[in-house]
Amino acid sequence: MIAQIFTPISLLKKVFRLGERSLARQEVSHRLQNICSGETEEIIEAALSCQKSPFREGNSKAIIEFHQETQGLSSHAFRVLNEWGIPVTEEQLLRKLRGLNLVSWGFPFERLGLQTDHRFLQLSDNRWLLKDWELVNDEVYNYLVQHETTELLLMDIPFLIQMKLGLTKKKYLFLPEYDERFQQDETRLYILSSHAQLEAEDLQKTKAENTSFMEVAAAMSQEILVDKSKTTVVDEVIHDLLGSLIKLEKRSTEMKDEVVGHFSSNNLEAIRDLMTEKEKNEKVLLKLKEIVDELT
Amino acid sequence: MISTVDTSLELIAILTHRFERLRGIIQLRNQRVKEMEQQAVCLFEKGQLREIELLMEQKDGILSTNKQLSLFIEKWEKKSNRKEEQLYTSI
Repeated sequence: MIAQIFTPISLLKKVFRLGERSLARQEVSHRLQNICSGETEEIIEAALSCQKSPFREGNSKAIIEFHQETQGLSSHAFRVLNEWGIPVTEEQLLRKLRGLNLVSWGFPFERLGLQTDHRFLQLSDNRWLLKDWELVNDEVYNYLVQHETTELLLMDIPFLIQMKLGLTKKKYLFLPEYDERFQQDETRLYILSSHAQLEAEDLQKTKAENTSFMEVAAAMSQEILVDKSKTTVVDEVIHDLLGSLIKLEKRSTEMKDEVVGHFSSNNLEAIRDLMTEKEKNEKVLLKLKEIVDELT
Repeated sequence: MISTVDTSLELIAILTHRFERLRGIIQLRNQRVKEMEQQAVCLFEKGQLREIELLMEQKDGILSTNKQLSLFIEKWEKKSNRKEEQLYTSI
């Protein structure tokens, strides 16, 4: 299913971990297999052949390199997506940035550089989202099946996910439109595969389940509101940590340019210093990531 | 007299062709230096300082040969141009 949801470039971005610039093709293929079924080689080829792809073959075909570039404006796009917490179209994002007086009317979307930025992913329908959002379709489905619920209000889904997974509102990704187990209309979500099993059951009972579920969801929303005020500081800390991660990542990119400069001027000593700095950065990056993962 | 001039002009044409080829070679070697910069970045990513040092030496070798080749072309091209001018004047 994942292979149909994301573009090939985004799938490759998903398998490159923070700080990784190049990987063996075999490793990429192996990691792709872990996240999606299907022909991994086809995905790799598709990502490599895309126009303006940040992925290239290295010195040999066996190496896939990720040429990351972070544009200044992408940080604003990151903030907007983080704030909204939902996948957005290019036009929606540009409209928001125009509204903030950050870009002009004729500003082309490509110049935001989201394609080459590891923090952004793109869905097959061209909407953009953040890499750290987790897809929770399975969790939602399992929960609803367990509770023998065949339909629920779309507006209740955020409460369900927070209640079940304990994820903050802006960190999950529920995409029923890509999942054949779900069907949705304007206000409700229907669970299809369990429908047949539950058909024979008393409709009244199902309704009661739905009602009770909605009650639980409503109660949870109250709890969440209370919790939210408690966890604001933690959220801020996580946000700061993410900011630090981005800073370290940016420094890594700068270092690459510096290496080229020192290499041209034969300054091996400076490259040695940079290498020491890089090692330190990577250690900090790893530790920070562990903390962020743990906290989120 | 005319046949000597013809032969000299042919020789000059061959020389000009060779100078062009040499310039092409210098260009290719400069491209190689550019690739080396990228290679150095990859080695930096992998933390291979010793390999960067070797690459640096290799790059210096290429650059110094390129310089010598450029000087060679400059020196002999000037001479061949002068010879060519003399030949046209004599015709």
